[in-house]
Amino acid sequence: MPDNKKGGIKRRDFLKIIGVVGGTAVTTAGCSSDSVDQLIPYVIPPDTIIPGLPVWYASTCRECPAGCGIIVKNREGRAIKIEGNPKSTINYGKTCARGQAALQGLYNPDRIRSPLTKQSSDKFEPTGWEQAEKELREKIEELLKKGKGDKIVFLTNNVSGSLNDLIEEWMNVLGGGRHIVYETFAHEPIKEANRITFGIDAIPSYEIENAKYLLSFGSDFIETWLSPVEFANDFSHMHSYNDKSKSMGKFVQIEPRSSITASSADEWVAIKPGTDAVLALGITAVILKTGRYSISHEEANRLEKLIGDYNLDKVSSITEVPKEVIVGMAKDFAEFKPSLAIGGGAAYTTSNSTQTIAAINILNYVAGNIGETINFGDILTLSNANSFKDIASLVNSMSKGEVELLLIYNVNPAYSLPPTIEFEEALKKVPFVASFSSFMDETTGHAHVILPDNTPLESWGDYKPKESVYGLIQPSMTPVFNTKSTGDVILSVTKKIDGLENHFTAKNYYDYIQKSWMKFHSNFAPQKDFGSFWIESVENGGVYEQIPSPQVSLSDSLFGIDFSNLDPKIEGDGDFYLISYPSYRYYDGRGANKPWLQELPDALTTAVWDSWVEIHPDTAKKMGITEGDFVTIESPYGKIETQAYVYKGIRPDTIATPLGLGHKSYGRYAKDRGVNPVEILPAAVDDISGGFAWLSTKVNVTKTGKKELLVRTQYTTTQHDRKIALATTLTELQRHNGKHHEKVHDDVDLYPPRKYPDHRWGMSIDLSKCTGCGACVTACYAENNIPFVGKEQCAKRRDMSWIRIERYYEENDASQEFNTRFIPMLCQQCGNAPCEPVCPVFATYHNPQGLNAMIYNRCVGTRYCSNNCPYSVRRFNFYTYKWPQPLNWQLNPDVTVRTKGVMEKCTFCVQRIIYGENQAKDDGRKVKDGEITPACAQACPTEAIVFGDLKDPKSKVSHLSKEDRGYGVLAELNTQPSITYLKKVYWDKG
Amino acid sequence: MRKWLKFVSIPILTIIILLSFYFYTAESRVKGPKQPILFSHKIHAGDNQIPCQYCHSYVDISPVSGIPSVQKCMGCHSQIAGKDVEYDYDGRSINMQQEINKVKEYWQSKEPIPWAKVNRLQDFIQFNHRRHIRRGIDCSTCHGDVANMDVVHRVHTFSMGFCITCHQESAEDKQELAQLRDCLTCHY
Repeated sequence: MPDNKKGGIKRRDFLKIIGVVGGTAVTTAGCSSDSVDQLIPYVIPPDTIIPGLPVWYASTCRECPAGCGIIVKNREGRAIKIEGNPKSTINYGKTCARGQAALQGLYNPDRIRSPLTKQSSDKFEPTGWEQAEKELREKIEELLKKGKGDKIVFLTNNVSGSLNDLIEEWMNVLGGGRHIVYETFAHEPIKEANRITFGIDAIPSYEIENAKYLLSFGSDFIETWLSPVEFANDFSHMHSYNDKSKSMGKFVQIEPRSSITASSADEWVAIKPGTDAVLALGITAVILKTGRYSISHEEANRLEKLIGDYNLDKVSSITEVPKEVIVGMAKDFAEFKPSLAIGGGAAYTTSNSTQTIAAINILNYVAGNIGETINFGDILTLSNANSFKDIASLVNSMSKGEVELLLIYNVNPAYSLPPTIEFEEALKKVPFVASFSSFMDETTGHAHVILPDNTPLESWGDYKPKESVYGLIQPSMTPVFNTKSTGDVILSVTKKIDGLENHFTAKNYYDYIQKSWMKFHSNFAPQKDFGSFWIESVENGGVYEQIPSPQVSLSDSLFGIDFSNLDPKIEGDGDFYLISYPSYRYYDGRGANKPWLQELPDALTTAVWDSWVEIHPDTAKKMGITEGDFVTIESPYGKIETQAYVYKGIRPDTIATPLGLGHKSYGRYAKDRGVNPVEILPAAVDDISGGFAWLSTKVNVTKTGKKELLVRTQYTTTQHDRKIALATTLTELQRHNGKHHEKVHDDVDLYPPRKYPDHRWGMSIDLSKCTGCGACVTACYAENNIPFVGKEQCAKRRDMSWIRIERYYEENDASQEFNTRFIPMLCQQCGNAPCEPVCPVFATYHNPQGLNAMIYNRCVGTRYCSNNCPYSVRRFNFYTYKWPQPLNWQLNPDVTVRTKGVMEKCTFCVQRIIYGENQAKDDGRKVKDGEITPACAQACPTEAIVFGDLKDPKSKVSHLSKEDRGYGVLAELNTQPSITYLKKVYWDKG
Repeated sequence: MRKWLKFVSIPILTIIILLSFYFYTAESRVKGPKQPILFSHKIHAGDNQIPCQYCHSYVDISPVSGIPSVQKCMGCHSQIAGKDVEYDYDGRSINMQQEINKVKEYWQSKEPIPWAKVNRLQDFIQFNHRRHIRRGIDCSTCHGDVANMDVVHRVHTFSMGFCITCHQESAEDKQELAQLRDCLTCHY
């Protein structure tokens, strides 16, 4: 290095001095009391808010038509967590991932923040409520003057209760406008088939819990079908292994691909797409022939005649289901009493869907299940949805200029309808379109004025998912943005229309709801005055009834149905059936703008933030396709391009891709992400019900030559012979009778055993209950301020989830059997944790309650702990992750937000443990079993996760962890995990 | 030049550091932060014997003690206008009525009073007032003799040593000691 000139200052020294001076300035500035935060008190304190303490508001979830009861945790005026309402008779205190993620709809940074209006240009301009309402009112007045009130159409999703009444009444008073209910999944064939079979035009309640044998034709009841949380919970009661009686119900899934629902089945029957009706008739025919039916001989004869010649050979050759499997199903279906057959999802996607459900109805009827496991008294309000055919005819009349004013509420047909129906073109022909949407989606972009609704978490309302449930929607906080409840908009607009000023007597929508509840108040609580009935209903989240099943008999119209030709109409000369299935993460696409759902790995593929297409390995091999290859899926109506996922759980003649992605707008998280398979589907319908036929064309698949990593969170599909997700069979358990428990390393240890003076927190996870639904994962994100990191970071394996669902495929080469096992993996809170001794700074250690503590402020980020963790459950903050405003409003103030360079992991929700302990201490008692639940266990729809004190011999978790099926994952490493997994249980074959 | 620079910079830096610490401690320990209203805890809690919990009313039920709402201030000050006299406010002469009038102004404009925080804990500390109050620990243990302070200032720096010393000394038995020494009690 050349010497310095005399008198000069060396660069290095200069930097040193600047560094020290600057550092000192920063340090002292940081310490100076000028930078101290402010304390802003209330001017007038609200009665409900005590700073530092949560308040819970009961409400109803509106993320799908199921209408689960929820309770929303509010801290200092902000909703921060959603949990199931234990009083609800739908979800019994449980939620799904979508329900948990409703908060990210509330705080979505891409929400429409104020009313918008489109002036001459094509751009939306923010405006005030008065102006926006005036525009809508003037349009209505103009139409009324011309006597064109009947040219108004109000297009909504499934609304029921007061909002439905209000809209119907409003349309009526405006001169005969129409209210049309559009649901992407309206389940039209169920309604129509029930009308034909039993004369009841409705979707009944399926009581899976009561069934001992469940035969599901394609219905994804754990994912999206009708009421997934309810069904998952029912299913878990029906199908989980009972240690006392050493028995369990049996479940068979008939579906062309092994869906998440099929993964929980004892048997997966890979039927040829579109032939479910034939199989249902075939099974019925076997039951009738073998005399195992529960109906009169006359009826049996009549039905046998109706079914015709669907003999075993014919059925087997059409459906490609082996004969012995059909006979086995028929035997089980008739012998397990009561049994239940349900049809949905993949089973009613073709032109013969109504016949399929009618055939399933007959099967249930023959086995005597109507009234036992199917309740036609407690019908779903989803029955009110219009059919796809109705929607198509609405689009037709729109394009003919027969609709003058279209009001759009909570639906996005421009995204979810097939393009051949030309909804967007028709929409452009409607002179005035008003949208109440909270988000700028594909449909809303075409509106002339947008009057953004509050989200259900900010507004009053009610929703009646089925006859027995009157759910109340209660605001859990004041609106985040300048939005207004649509009910209030309707009322205030009408009050200014000439001649209608006094039509509605209600002051506002809240008043309207109360008035409509007054109508049935006397039915429920005649002894109470309305005020106390109302308060009680609000506290309980609604009113719940029991409705018994009425007597149901076969309708004559059934015998007019033609079962002779059940070939589905499939056009196109492609090689593959394309199954486009509703995603349990995005439903019909409405979940795609929520980063928690995007980052929740799909249970089967573990893919995040993108679409994929499932292709059978044989097919893939033939075409030279490997995972990550971009392929083109082409139908006569268009093509889409996405990445291949080679999946053994699908028929070789079928490919499948999830719905819900491929948005052209709908916010930063949804836009231009993945593909929307609806784009290549024709507007074909089920012949009888007019429901959309999702499977009406065959497609071709070609390799594009482009290849990229399909971003997933788990790339291995097998357990590599390690004992991670274990399973056993029913006879095996019955044979061993208590001597099955695998014990590892219980006596050899160099160190004295740890002492737990007070509690030892532990968990049991029942793999026979876990369905892989991911509710626990999203609940954990919500509770513990876990950042979402995006696709690029996920590709680098930097996803931050503290609990994940690992899935392993089990293949038996000899029998060609395929099944999937799910295992929730989280910190095992090891008694002998490998992470603890390697931490150089004691940031992680074993606490006296058995928790493997992680002290963020102590962590220096060496990551040794993560390296040494055999379960790979520790997560490192590679960045200080940000929540764009106002998503950060959701953050839980009881949990530290971690910054760059800090390791983090599951703590069994220590903040909830401490909260529970505090409550107990205040009451001067011990913590009660079940009082403390971590977010994952709280959310779990199947109650697979149980948390408690292992030192309390009476606690539920102590009992469960002593079950025969219990084992510790990788316990052979002597980690002494606090989590006991209970083996999955299958029925023996045959 | 280099020698000269080293010779000068070291004392300058020392002075800067010492001065900043002086100001830092002087500001917080002696005077406390600058408040929007020259509120005297001494007059309220000392002279008039108002219990702490009258204003900090959540202290025994919530993790945070709560700062009185403007409404609460006005509960008394709609009646008590204060004397139009000079008051020796920690060595500074103030007019009591003028200060009380400031509260009324906030109330009339329905604005909250932006108090400056005197005691601040880092975000990674989950402190619970309720636990401490219910244990019978006096407010003054941590906050000092507020009843005799015109200007409330920090008496203890609330570093971990301060907490842990008390936790260790006050534990009743081994079991409680284990819990009170557990990092997870406050850090999660």
